[in-house]
Amino acid sequence: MLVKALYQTLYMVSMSALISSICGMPLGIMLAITNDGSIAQNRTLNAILAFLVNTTRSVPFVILMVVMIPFTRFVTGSSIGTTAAIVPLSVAAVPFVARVVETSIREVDKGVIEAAQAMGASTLQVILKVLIPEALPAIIAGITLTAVNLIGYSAMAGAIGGGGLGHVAIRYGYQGFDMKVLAAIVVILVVLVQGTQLIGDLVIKKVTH
Amino acid sequence: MIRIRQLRKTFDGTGNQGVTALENVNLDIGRGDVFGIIGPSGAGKSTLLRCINMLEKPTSGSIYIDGTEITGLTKRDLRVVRRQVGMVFQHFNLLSSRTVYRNIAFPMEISGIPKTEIDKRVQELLGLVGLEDKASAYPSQLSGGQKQRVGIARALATRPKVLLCDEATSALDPRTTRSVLELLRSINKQFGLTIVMVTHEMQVIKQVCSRVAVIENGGVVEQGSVQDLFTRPGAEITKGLLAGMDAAGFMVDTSKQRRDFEGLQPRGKEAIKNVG
Ligand SMILES: Nc1ncnc2c1ncn2[C@@H]1O[C@H](COP(=O)(O)OP(=O)(O)OP(=O)(O)O)[C@@H](O)[C@H]1O
Ligand SMILES: [Mg+2]
Repeated sequence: MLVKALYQTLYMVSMSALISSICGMPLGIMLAITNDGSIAQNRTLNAILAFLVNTTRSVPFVILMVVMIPFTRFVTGSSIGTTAAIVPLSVAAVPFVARVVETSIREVDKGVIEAAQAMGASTLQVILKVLIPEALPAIIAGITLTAVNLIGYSAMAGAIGGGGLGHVAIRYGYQGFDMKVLAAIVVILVVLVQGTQLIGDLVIKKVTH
Repeated sequence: MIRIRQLRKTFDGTGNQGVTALENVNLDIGRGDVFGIIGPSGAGKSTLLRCINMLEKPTSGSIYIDGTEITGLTKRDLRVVRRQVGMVFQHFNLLSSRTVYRNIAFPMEISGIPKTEIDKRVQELLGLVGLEDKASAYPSQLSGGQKQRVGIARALATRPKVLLCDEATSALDPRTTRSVLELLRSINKQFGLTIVMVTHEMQVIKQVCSRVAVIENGGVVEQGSVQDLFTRPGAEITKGLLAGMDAAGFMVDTSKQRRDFEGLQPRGKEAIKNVG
């Protein structure tokens, strides 16, 4: 039972971390480069993107899950289950990833960007060869943070039918007063979070020079 | 080589009063010159240099490089021109995520030069700046002087006709400054490269430049050969800049003492003595 729940949690977290990174990265990059004084300054686009990101971020996750039900059903064919939970989890994490990536990109040394432009780099070349590689350690730190947050959120998703450790905790621990199961789940979650952070830190160390 | 006519640059300030950084600047920089631009802080030296590769867009006036007017170019044409104009920065501006080798390869990579050709050129440049053994080091593992050598190698990678240097030695101690300036001068001699050098240190002008322009408050107040400037300074500001040099020929500049000294203790101590 716990093994299956752990598997479901890992599945939900890794899939939604992957999806939100894939969608959040370009969004974060767009946010960063359309900022005033950046390489593709565009106030209108920046305002629109910022509005979208802020709106999604301001909706509490529990409410987001409910609001998302029709969309989730449309994407996965069902609104209940582990796979279905990935949809609201990803949607909740996208704006978070976007902001983290935006901040990382904005911290890239202006002088280095300028040096690339002085060498005749195009905007796309600056993004691919300067901004992303230079911001990579910070971006990975942000994605690690997202994954850690997703572990927490996935427990919440589990509580409303997503399965996983959250589901078992509610079902057997809270409703069934099984303290041993509850304690075991807490330990597993702690190990999961620590492990995620550890892996993240190792990768960061590898890409920082 | 470079001809600047009636160049004017204003920055929009906050509120409705802008800053006029350059006003009616006219300059002629000949092929193979090591041309110095000196003046006090805020005079507009960096702005002027940055206009030459359009990092700063002039408000009005014209700039010709090798006969091409560059102020009205499209983005695409400008990128082509920029590949013929190298730039060296005070704070090096190397990519921290790339090794020395890949930093030098960078400008060639973005110009779409084939890998084998890039490799050949990088080896050549590593030899030129004396960093053969540092090819796989990252910038964080280098001293200031070594970083600037990488910066110079990178600027030369696409065989530019012009090299722009903005306070290229201002973050270095006197001894390293001398060796970097020597490198620049030998490059100038060897390849006939035109070098434009912005500095606030007369010593730099004295050591490497052939011609010089003195600028103050956004305008050129004096220009000519370095020898003339030293023997017959005309403008007050030039006299002031010359007076700032001490007997040993170094600028009196206490801020130097807190800058890094290449991490080499014996060198560092000697450098401090030189600053006196
Ligand atoms: N991006 C900018 N926005 C607004 N004002 C600027 C900008 N860049 C430069 N200036 C102003 O233009 C003037 C000239 O600046 P510039 O950096 O060219 O001086 P400088 O001679 O290089 O000085 P320093 O020796 O301190 O580097 C200054 O008054 C400066 O405040
Ligand atoms: Mg300057």
